[in-house]
Amino acid sequence: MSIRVAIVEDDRTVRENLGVLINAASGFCCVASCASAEEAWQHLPGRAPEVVLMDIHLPGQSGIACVARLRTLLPNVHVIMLTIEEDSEQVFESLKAGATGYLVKYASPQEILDAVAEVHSGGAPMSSHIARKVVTAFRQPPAGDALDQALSPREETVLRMLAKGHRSKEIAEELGLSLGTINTYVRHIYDKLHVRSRAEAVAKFLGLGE
Amino acid sequence: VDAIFEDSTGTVWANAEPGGLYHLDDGSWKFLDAGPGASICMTEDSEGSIWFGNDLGLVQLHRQPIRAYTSRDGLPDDDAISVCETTDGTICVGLNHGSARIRNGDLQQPKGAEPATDYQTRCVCPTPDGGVWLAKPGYGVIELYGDTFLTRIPQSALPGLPNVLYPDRSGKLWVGTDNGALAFEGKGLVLRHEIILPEKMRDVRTFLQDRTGAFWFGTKNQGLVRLHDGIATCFNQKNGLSHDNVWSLHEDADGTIWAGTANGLTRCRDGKLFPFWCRDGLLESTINCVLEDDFGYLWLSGMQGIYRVERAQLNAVAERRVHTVQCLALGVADGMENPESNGGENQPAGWKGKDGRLWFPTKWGVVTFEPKSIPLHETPPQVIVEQVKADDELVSGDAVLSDLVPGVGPPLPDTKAKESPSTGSNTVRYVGNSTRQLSPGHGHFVEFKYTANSFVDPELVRFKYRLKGADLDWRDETHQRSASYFNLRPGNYQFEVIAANHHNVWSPVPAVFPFTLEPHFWQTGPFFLACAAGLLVLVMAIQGYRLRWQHRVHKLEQQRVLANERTRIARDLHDDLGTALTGLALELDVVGREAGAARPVSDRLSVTAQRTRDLVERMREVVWTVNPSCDTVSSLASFLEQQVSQFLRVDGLRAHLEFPENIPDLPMGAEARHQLALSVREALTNVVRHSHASQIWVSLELMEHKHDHGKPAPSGSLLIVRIKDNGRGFLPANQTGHGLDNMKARMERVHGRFDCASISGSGTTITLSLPLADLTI
Repeated sequence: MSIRVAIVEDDRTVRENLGVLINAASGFCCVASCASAEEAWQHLPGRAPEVVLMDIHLPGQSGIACVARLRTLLPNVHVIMLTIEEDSEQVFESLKAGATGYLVKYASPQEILDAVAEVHSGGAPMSSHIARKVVTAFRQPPAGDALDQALSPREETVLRMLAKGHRSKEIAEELGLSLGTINTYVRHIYDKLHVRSRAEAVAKFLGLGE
Repeated sequence: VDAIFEDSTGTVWANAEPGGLYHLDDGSWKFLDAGPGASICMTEDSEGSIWFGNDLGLVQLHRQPIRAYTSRDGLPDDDAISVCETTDGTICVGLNHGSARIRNGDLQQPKGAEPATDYQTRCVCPTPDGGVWLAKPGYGVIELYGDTFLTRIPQSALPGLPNVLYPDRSGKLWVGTDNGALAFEGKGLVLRHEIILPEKMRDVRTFLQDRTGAFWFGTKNQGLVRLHDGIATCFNQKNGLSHDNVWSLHEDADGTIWAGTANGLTRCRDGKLFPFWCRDGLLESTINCVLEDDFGYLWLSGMQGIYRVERAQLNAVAERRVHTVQCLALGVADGMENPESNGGENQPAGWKGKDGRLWFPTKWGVVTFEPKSIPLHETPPQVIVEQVKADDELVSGDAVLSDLVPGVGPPLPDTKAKESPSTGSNTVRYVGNSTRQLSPGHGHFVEFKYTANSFVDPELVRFKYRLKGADLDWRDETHQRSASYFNLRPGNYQFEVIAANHHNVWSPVPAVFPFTLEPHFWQTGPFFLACAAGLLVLVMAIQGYRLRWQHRVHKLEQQRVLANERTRIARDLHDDLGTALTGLALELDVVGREAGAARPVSDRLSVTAQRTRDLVERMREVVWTVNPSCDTVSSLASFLEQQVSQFLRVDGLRAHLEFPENIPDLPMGAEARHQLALSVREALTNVVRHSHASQIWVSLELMEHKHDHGKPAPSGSLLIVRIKDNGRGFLPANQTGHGLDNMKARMERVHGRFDCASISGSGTTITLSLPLADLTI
């Protein structure tokens, strides 16, 4: 069973070639390719992709808004953001909106496929600067009734080590855990970040926050 | 005899037991009742008053020049209306009720019964044969000859009520009524003329036949008419008359006509009028009668007294040679019972006797005096400043005097003696010219008390004062004997006061009190200068600050524009070029894959695709250094992280990152980031190429400079990046070949430090430290 991949990218060359490469790779198939967020919301639910490669800059609705909506349409989908600029605030915003990871656009096809496979198999990549932002985000008091979304001590330990620049493998070695466990922790962190940010948005909407 | 004294008029005064005061007049001693008590001492003051000191107090004796004939002398009525002298020298007085005759100073009423005594005798006028005509409005004109009264003109023969009787040179009697003027002739008063005046001008109040034979009629409300050779000339307020109610006319020795009016005096000379009012020095506006004495003075009777004014002075004022005239005022102190004279609306209201005495009817009897008995040059009062207080602090004078108002209060012998000129040594110290110094802040309330040595009628003594330095002119006349000034500014002042006695004779020289109010230090010129200088400096400082602020704002604006531009370039490069190149790389991959069979081609395509990706990455690095949103330490950290992971990817080295858990968003300039990033890259390249190391540690650390006060300041942070490997190391001598100089130069360019520690066989540590400059301006 190959991994069902969808592409949301406004640049035609990138979108089409990426589609060709994914289809050509064994174990992957490109089930949809869309040029905008609106198109993605319309088509993707029917194609049931497992991993979506999403450009962060889309014409019209941004990739971040697209992620947030897709996560409600397809709760189990994993979204990998494609960006040129790695440390932009938008990357973190899209992670808060529900993306599972990100890739620089100029990564090689193999790296892209590896990343898709990793995410699909439960991996959760998190760079140290994203980890630091997550630490900062969790330091804020949670908005609304998202108190249960605090990090567990283990998750916190993992997050801190990531923030210090350690890699998942190193952390696994250091803590005597498997890489999969670390990935689970990181995925939980992503999920909690996502929930928190949704609570924040609701609170803002209700005028409770700020 | 206890005391004997000769006064300035040659009268000898003596005190004889028991309690009697005598004066020697015309060779015989006369007794004067000076009250109880025997006089012990006597003196005369500058005003001619004789002062007697006895064991009960002080008695002032003053000669009164005016003799008033009143009901005490037997006058049937005190309200005298009109007065004249008959050809035989008898004075006849018209009273409110009846009339009276005074012969040789004694009242001599006619034996015959006066008709109509309940009528007012408005006018009295001498007949050519020693009798007198009396005009009684409503009754007619009566002749009194000898002791007999005879009605000559009944009221019915007159067109109106008579107000004036006037005998002309030809012996005719002119009767002025409120409805026309008539002339009667002969003993029997046969009507000769009736002057036909315009209807409005018929209320004639006074007549005058001047030396040219011209006839003058003074009217009520319609001014003055001159009738000469059948030509009438009218004068009124519009052509120079002081008022249109003309009460009294007088022709002086020069042939000048003087008209007393209800408001002021008018001189009529050569047909030209000049009015005098109070502002010219007259003491009263109402002039009931104008008389002239033998010494060149006019005498004006008014509502508050009788005034003497020199004709020559009036002429001088009219000719603008003198500003004001000096009037001498006679009043109660001179013997009048009531200073209000009668007349005005009826004439004659004053008479000059053949002996030169002047007579005026008043509200309380008829008064008479010899003009020569009134000194032409009276000694003016001497005025002194008695006490000066500044903010309740005594500056000059005697504190005991403070609440006494001399002359008005009870006549305390001590006070009187003290103020008398004969003991004038007490006053000398006030008249002195030495300037007093008033200490700073004493100008809130400055009070001057002054007085004048005039005791004939102290209540009539008037003062004028001014404070040179504060007042522009003399203040209005006042009876007050103190003057107050408030909130004086520091400076030089001179208080000056002059006084006039009851006769309106002013002291020619003022009493002065010069003083200087010292300024507070903050009222001085240097202080103002200092303030001005301080203000100037402040203004300049503010202006300087403003300019600097503007400069900063301008600079920030420039930076903002530049940052916007950098941001735009960065975004364009990323979005357009980055995406396009990425697309190109993917395209190359796809083509390579489709070219499948031709292996060398596909390999080359794959290499080209990788180069294209490297290109994007290079571009990204360039954009990173340019993008102002990356001007932070945390951005640098994330950049370093990416670089390290790339080296890891390429060479399979084991890399360890040691970053602080929390990296603050400290600002960091683009140049510093760039140089530091390039230095790190170079160091990493060295490790990969030369060290043969298996592991690499990259750490980032933020240290805070310890300042003098031991207070950590973000702006004093020191950024330290360490790259450590476990390779073979190198000898310091070989450093040059490894681009170390290059790194050093890069770090120095951004005021950083480069350190390299290498131990042969156990690795190298490169430390890059960079002070974080405060980027805020």
